[in-house]
Amino acid sequence: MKNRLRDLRKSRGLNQADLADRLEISRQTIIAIEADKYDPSLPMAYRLAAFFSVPVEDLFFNPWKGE
Amino acid sequence: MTYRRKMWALAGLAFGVAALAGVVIGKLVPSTGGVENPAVVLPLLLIIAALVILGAVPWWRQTDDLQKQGQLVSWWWGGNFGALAMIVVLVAMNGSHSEISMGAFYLFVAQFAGMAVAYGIWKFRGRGVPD
Repeated sequence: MKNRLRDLRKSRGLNQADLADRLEISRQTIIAIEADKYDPSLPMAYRLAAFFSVPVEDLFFNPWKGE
Repeated sequence: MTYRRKMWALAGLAFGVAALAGVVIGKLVPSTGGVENPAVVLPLLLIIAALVILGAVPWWRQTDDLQKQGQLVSWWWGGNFGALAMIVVLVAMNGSHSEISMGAFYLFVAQFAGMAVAYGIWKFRGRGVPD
């Protein structure tokens, strides 16, 4: 699922390892989500959105919206 | 402690418990033949096996979505294919009813039974309220 994780992370001046540590998840997970290789679970999507204080749909683009 | 270090520590705990269990089991079980008192030793060995699983629980709980999915996919596809391939090799090299082939077969059946039980529990716990 396409997303803005990389942009939001960089806007906070965090590298992938920093963000992973702050969220207590693996760096591999951050890399995979940013590369659109892995769709996170709903709880993790909300967790990421809460960390950046944005709605989930501002972080993950809903591919079905507007169909 | 960083998440990465915590994960390594928990993985170390899981492997440490498994290694310790291996040593204890090695002391309790003779290299050939069965144990002298299975009524006592067998339950003890099953408790040790349960402790090995329990030793991995903190690590499993700390893993995130992606890591869990990686473990599940790898164990399902890789584990099953590896086991099947080894059974085929053992049967071809030693005969279908040789002791080693039967041992591998029992292990595979036990693995399948364990998977079926775990799947049943997973399905039961994941049920919702139908309309």
